[in-house]
Amino acid sequence: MEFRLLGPVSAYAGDESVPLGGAKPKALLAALLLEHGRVVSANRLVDVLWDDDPPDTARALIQTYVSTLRRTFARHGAGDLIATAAPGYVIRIEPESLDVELFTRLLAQGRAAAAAGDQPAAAELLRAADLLWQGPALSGLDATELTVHASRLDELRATAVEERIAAEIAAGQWGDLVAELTVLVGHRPTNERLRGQLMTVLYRLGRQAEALACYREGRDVLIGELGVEPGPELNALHHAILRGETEQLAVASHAPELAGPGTVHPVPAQLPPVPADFTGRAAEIEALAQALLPAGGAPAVQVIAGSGGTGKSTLATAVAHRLAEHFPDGQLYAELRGMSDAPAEPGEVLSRFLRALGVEQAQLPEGLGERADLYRSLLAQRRMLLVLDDAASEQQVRPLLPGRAGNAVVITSRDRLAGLSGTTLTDLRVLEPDEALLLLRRLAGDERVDEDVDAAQRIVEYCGNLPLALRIVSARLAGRRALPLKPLADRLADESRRLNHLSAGDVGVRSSIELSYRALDPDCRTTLRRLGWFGVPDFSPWVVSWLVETSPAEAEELVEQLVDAQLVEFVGVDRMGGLRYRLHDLIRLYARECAALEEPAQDLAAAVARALRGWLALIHRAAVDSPPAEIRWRRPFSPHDVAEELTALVIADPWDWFEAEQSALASGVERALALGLHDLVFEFASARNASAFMGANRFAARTRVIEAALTAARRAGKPHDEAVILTELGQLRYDQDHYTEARRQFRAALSLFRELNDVPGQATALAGLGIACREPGRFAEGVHFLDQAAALLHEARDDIGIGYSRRIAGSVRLELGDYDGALADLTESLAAYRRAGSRLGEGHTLRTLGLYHRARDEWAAAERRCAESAEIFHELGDELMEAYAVRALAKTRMRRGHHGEALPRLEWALSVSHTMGDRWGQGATLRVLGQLHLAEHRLDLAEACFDAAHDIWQSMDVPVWQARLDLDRSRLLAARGDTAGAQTARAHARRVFHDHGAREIRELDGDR
Amino acid sequence: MAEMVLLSDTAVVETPVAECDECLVDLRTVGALRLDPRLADGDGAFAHVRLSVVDRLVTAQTLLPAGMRLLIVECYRPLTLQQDYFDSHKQRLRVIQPGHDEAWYHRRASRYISPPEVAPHVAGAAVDLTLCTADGTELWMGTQVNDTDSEACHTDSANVSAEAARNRRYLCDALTSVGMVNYPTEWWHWSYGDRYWAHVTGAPVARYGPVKSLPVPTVAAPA
Repeated sequence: MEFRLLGPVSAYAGDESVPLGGAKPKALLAALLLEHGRVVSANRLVDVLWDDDPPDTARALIQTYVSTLRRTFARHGAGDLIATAAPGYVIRIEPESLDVELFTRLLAQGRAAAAAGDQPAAAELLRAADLLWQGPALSGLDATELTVHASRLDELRATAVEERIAAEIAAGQWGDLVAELTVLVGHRPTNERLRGQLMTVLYRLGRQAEALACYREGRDVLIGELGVEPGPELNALHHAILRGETEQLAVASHAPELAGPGTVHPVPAQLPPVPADFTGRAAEIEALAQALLPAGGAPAVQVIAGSGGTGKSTLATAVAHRLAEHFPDGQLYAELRGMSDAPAEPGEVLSRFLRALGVEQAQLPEGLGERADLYRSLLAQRRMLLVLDDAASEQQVRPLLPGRAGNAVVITSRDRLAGLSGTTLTDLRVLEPDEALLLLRRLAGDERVDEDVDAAQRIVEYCGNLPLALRIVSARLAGRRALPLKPLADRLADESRRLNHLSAGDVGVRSSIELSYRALDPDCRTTLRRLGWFGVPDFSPWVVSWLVETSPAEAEELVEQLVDAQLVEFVGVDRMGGLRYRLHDLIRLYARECAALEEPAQDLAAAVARALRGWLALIHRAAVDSPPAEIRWRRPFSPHDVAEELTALVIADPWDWFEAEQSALASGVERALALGLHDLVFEFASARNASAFMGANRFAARTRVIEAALTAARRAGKPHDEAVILTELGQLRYDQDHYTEARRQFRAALSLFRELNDVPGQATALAGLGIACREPGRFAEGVHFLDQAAALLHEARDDIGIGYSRRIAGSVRLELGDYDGALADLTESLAAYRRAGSRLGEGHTLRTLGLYHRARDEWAAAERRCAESAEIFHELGDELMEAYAVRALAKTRMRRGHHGEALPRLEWALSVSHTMGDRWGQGATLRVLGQLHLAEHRLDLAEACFDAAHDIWQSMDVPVWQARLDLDRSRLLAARGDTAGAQTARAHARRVFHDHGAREIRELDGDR
Repeated sequence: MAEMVLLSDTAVVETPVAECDECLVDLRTVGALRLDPRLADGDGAFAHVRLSVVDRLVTAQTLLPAGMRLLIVECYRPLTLQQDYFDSHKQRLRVIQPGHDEAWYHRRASRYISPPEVAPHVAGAAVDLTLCTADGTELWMGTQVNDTDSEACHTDSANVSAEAARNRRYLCDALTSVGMVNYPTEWWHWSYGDRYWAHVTGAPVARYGPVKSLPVPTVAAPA
């Protein structure tokens, strides 16, 4: 029989419900069960059932209830549960038959699992515990005495729910938690732990604005009902969310199938497959597996070193697969391309790792050091296996090593990497002859080897006992069961003699590659040569189709043939679902040599050019079509046809496509540079649409392309091209918030354009100089450059250019307090954008006009303009600029005293800037949020917002904005009664305004 | 002194000029730069300088610490004025240090006054300037502008206070960043595009040759 107290008091015999009678017998049973195994006195039972007012027949009634219960139980085969024992009764049951016991046990187990760090197990146990409940404890009873017990159990349940939720969040299973937490928080609004959990889940689902709103609601309730402010943990969480901290975001989920729709990322499992016929190396595998198992202390780092073709990568992968189950948080894999022209940059590798660990693209830190720090702290919470394949050097590898134990790393390299401390080295030699023979057996089949063991041994010897060579050679035998080994051995002997000037290892691989290559049909050979010549780290069949001028379908065919011949490796499927392949270094080198020998240079150059043009065509197609708001280069671009199929794919998802392709693309451009295809390289870098689309935070690829183009322009002795690229470089630096560097590049570009008498170029460079003066507060200089740009653009009747340069000039004049000048600029800008039909430009200028009116206290006009601007950006789907306009509008309304809708709108704007990785925008929005809180006298919230804005802005060169923030803080300090502090902050701000000529100086001095 | 390249050195004098005809800009119309009146002439010649030099000066100013600005003292000098300066200085030397031949006086005078035919100021390529605060108060640089009475006016002189040395560094860093060159005997003298600049930077030709006198087209932007 089973008994339930966690809900209506009930009993079950199997599936059958056992009738217990009315509230009184139930209460009696409950009282006994709560003390099961212990005697409960009759007096106590009387108190429980009748409280202070028992009838005279109380005792008799008790006896009746007991015997009724006994009879009922007996009917279900459990008659002797309730025993009479002076001075009352006792019920003896199996503990597991009482749900309270089960609950307590599961709760304890769940807590133990959580304490041991096994969050998924904890979550599961606590879920099971929760499932035991059918309703409030001991419900359906009318027994005041038992209320205490019921409350205690209910409290325990509530705690268990909180712990279960905590475990689920830690395990990444937050899919359905929002709904549940919302209800729970609604019932218990002063419970800070639940609220914190709700905020966390909302934030991780990308709903930053709602997370902030949740905090504010909680704060209102706590202050209103309890007269206290939120505690330190909740505040810390709030601050972290305001600042948009990435560590809060990045968590690996353990069981994606359990996690539901809200989960952010599955467990990374990036290992390539191990070949099915992988053989030998038993001793090495054992040793490595042992050494890599998590023990304690430092992370286990193993280096596998050896020359080409010895099977280092395969060994590393095999070991990793074997150990996968010991590393529940997954495996990370990276090719470091140590043997190629362009080894991977640690920063690029880290960015891929960080994204696999759940960090959003827009939140990736920029610097190598910061990325490495974030990476190590994420790894510190996990147990992961890392495979770093083909490392070039210690410097390349160091930033990728975890800091703490629990993670294990396998590195393969040609080099021993002796400079890395704390590593163990496995020197991988060629296979032992008997292992090599065994591999050949696997590859070629036992019968063939048995038929001619001598030939087999010769093959093995000519291949230098190298696994790679053996694979390549055996590919010739695949699918041709009847082919004997002897002819193959003979041909290898010839090759070896031919190559005998090479070292033994090289001979082995080269003979095999050579043999295989010769046996390919001509188209395949061409494909291999051109792939080697192009040399990109990995490629899709599209690139092949461009290189060899075939249809995509044919290209795929060719690649597959090369895969069959073991000359090309299949790497995996990329984000767009496309296939990706690569060449082993030795094969690439060989193919490149063949290309140089067998094909005329112009054919090879043409092939590379086609590949680049293919990419260019895609980039141009993917870029936005509507009239832009910024100055564009006016240049023709050489058109190139690209299959509609591919274009459609790319246009549907340009970001993912670029993601998959960016490494190959940058390498391809660098290769084109090395080949002297300067014009094409230049075209790549100056596709302004391309840089916009390469987009936020894709600085690594963009930098490589631009730097290649700069070198190309210089080598080709083309000052005009150089000037264009310097302008692009300036723009890149500006986008990276490196204003000083941006100015240097723009000025260098201007100098060249002046020498060349290129007026459009001068205008663009001048505009760049101007805008790179604005954020750092160099207003007078900014106006100087922008006015010159505007003059040139007016002469050229370039409406977009006029719109842009006059708008920025107007915004700078506004900073200076030159109101009449600003209005003239902005009016002309608006007219020009309208002439050009640029809605985007209109939107920008309307917003700046709104700021102008606001600065002049012309509230109605300001509101109108800002609202118009927001409308346009909304229409165009430009969320980031809409957020800017919304912020401007909210602040305007605030000044008019309409605080109403402002908070949610501002919190939305903040989350947009956060998602897009717009640091300045986040700072600006936090500042306005702070002002709003200050205006409504929520000083602690104002401080939190101002602090968060300060944290963001102090890492940028935006002194005037920081001074404005100081002014806000001085008002906050004044509101707190800290007059001295307020004066210091104000004086500090005043100094900055004075030094930069900002308009606030007049306002401040006027206040005195 | 032996290592310094002088304006009168043969190598400098013989540097070819490919006059690019870039206009001179009147800095009195450039709001971003502050002019000092001490050497102002009636026509405003002192305030004129080539367009590309203006670009550099304004950019350089943005590379100074906040609140610090350039203070322009003298830019263009008409050829005749330069000739006067040169002759006066030679005369002064004849008086102070008699007994040398003309070539010696020519060379010695060239330490501080450029021979007119190669004078950077006459090409509108050079600027004499110093630093000031946002309010226009001059900063201490170790000597006054144009004070050549001691060797403290040499840019690298160790005989200046730490404050002056630091200010000179700010000035040098900013102007070097934008591709201007300094005449090492005069911390205030900087140029671009003239023969001296071409020689020091290894450019094949100078862009700016002597401009005899104003008026020269003085629009703010090239046609």
